[in-house]
Amino acid sequence: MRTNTNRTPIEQADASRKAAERGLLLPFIGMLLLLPPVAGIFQLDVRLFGVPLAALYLFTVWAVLIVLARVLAKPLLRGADAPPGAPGD
Amino acid sequence: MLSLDLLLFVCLGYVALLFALAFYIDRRARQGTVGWLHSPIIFTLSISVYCTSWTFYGAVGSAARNGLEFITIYLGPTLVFIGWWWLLRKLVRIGRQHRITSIADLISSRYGKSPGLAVLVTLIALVATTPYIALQLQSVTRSYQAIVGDVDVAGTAFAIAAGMAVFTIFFGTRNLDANERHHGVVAAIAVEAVVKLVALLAVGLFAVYGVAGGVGPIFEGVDTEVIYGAGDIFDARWVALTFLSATAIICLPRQFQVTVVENVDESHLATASWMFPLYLFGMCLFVMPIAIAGLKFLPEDANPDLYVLALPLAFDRQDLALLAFLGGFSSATSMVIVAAIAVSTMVSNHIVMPIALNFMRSGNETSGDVRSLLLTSRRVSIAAVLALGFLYFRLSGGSDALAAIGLIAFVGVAQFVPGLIGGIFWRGASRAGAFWGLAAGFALWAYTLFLPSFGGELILSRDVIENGLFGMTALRPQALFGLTDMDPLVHALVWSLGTNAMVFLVISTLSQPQPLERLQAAQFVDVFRTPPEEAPRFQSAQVAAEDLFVLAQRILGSGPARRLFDDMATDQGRAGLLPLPSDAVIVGLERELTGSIGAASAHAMIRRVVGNESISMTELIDIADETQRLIETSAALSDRTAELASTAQELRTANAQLRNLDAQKDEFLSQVSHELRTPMTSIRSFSEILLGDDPVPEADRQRFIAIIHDESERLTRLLDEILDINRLEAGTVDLPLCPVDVNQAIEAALATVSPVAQQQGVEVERMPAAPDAWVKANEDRLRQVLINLLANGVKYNEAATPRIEVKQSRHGGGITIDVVDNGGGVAQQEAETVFEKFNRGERSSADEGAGLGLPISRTIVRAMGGELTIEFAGDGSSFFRVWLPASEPA
Repeated sequence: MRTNTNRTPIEQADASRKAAERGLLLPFIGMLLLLPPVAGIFQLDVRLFGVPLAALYLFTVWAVLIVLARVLAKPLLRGADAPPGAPGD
Repeated sequence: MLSLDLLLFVCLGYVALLFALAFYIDRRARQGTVGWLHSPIIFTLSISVYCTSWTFYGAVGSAARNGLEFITIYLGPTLVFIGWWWLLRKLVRIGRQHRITSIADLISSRYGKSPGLAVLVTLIALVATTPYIALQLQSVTRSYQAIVGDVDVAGTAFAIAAGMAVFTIFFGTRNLDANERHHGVVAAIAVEAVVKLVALLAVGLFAVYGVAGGVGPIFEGVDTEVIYGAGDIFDARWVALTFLSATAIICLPRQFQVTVVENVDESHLATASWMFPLYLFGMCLFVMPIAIAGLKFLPEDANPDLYVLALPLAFDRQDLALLAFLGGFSSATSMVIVAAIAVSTMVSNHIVMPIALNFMRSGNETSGDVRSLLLTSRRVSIAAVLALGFLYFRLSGGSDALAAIGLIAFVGVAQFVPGLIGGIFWRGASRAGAFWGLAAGFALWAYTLFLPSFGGELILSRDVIENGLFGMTALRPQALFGLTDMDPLVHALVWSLGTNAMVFLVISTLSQPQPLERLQAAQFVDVFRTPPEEAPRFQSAQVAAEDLFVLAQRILGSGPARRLFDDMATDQGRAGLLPLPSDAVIVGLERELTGSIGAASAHAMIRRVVGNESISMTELIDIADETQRLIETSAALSDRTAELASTAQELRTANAQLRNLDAQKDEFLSQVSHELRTPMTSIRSFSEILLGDDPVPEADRQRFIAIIHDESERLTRLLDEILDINRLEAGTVDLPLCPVDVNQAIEAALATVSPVAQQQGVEVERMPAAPDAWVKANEDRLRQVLINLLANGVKYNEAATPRIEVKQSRHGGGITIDVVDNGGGVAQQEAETVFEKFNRGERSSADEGAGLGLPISRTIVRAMGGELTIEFAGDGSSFFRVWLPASEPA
């Protein structure tokens, strides 16, 4: 499948491998940020825009993860047709 | 207060609408005009059955009691979905390739289509789901109560359960094939998903802007404890809850149903990977504000679990209250419907059918009998599951204990995790390990969490809960072996799942898997490397096609069976006949039946017709490792291809070189002929004149003979040069190298050239020589090169006051000799062509040499390990440079 005629097959395989690696990484970044001890840093009696800091932090990280997942979805899907042996198999 | 009549009217109207929608969509689906239903958005919305009334009402209740903790229930699924590439993709691929009908089917299929494992998983799912359904019934009746006051609780709950049963049976069992989407159900659930999101957002906006008057004011004056809970919120319980919700999004039977079984297109996962977290984000956004508004503005005795409803009611917003009620109703009913479909499929396929088939064994077999039995069993199972839920609700008396059942169920289904994850990533996972791990985990879950949640009213007495089994304190269910300081949920999770995983791992490494198990393990773990059409073929038994056809008819019904066999026959090129019972046909049929009755039952039924597996262990290992070999073969092939490609490239290059050489040779020959032709022509013409009859004057005679002599000399010189360059290029000339004094060589060359130079009026200047300049060279040949270069400078110098400069210097481990003339130089682009044979350069139009001097010189210098180049000075003039490696003085 050639979705982008400007790329050679090797570049494409490379791009989809990179995408897969990022796809595998994303939940780990999420875990790191949403679980203690990192999340605990924000458990302070501080308000930002009137919202308690930890709540703001959690929802912000959450939103960023959603955006990243959205960005990654397309290149990952392109790599789904990659030949066997791609990472994630 | 909303009137009872209005509420009933709206409620029934909503239900009628859902029925009508489901009916319409189902009919359209059978006409094949619902392509848009196969969209990733509908898929995402159907996954949102995760948000039950436990979310809709319970999240706010949890937030009011424990602050932000509620959010963990939605962070876990978020992590799983944004990491869909890891796990969900593989599950969905396996589900589609093996026509998996439920999570019990997946686990049993992975471990050699084991019926025992399927029954165990089904039982756990049933035990965990029943109270969950009861919880939904409870929340609907309570919300109903909250609006209209006193009602007949049992009657209401019964009406809801019965309504759901009718809906589910009507739209959930139209197709026997569980792999096919339940279009009507999915459409209804998608609508309900939108309703519950809109309702919660509406109440949230009302709480923030209608009640409190903005984001700032709502959080104003709120105690930190309300938001962070008492003590440290990011503790072990936070991690445990996140983990639990992550497992639940895969292991809850209804989630498995919508995500894996009903998935029609793997690419929908990519969209759901961000859209489902976004949906959860929207559901959670206003939970905390609603909880705070409830705490601030509602009476203290108000139930936090009903804040969502009570808040609009307290401020007399009946429209909003009605919307909230519909949202809660939607959350509850969608969960009940999907859970009933999922669990009833398991119960029917793995418990009812195997028993029924056993009884039918000796009976008379008629077409479609199994099919109708199967449909009946599905329908009865649905009714039974819902009846169980209702009974549970009645018996638990609608107690508050139910509220905790959400998390308890999560821990229950989390027991599937080791067997499931281990099974699809680890070939070594064995059936015995999965079975005993699951059994141990289930038992510990029941003992440490599920039974104690009844507060002594079911099996475990209050005494046992407080003092331990047989009065042994070490066996206290909520403080097993003295672990007293733990949160009961974390405690139960650690013990049950820890033991489960341990038993699973240990027994797996100790036990020897059965042949079929090995095969399935390979196919599941390497699902991305196994093309779907590469079915294993190991049926060597003799079987009549008629028997297979009868079997297919019994399960699928005569129409579908006929079509299936016609297709298979056409594939074999036997249109209109029964297909030959080849391996592919048998495997294909088994797969088809699996979609209807699950892997274990399908396998058993096929076995009954085909006979027992007659496959040897060696054969099986061959098959199981076939994927591996395929991979290796293809890798080897691609290596080979790369090798061939590079060889071909080398050949192409060599060929190009040969062509080039061939062209050079042709050119050389034509040049040589041309060069020989000119003197030959003049020699011939002058000799003819001399030989002619006409007398030639003596003076002319002398002149002609001189010309003939000169031309012959030129010919000889030319031939000598050609021979010389040929020998040099062929490397047949022996060039003995010895230390040569550069100064001496230059002096000698100058001495040879100076008479001609003087004659032409060219001034030759020797720059001050450096002493001790020795190079490794052949003295005669070096002199030849220098003479050639100097003669070149003398011959072609067209300057007004011609001058030649010779200088030398040390350079890069050797010595350079530069011959510089002021005769105009060589154009930069001509720099290399002057070294080509027969090229005399632009300066040499009036020349008599053959143009071999420079090529010969370069060949000689190179043969001595040096280099002859044209260099360009800054002002654009050029000079020749000879470089030779330095040497010790002789």
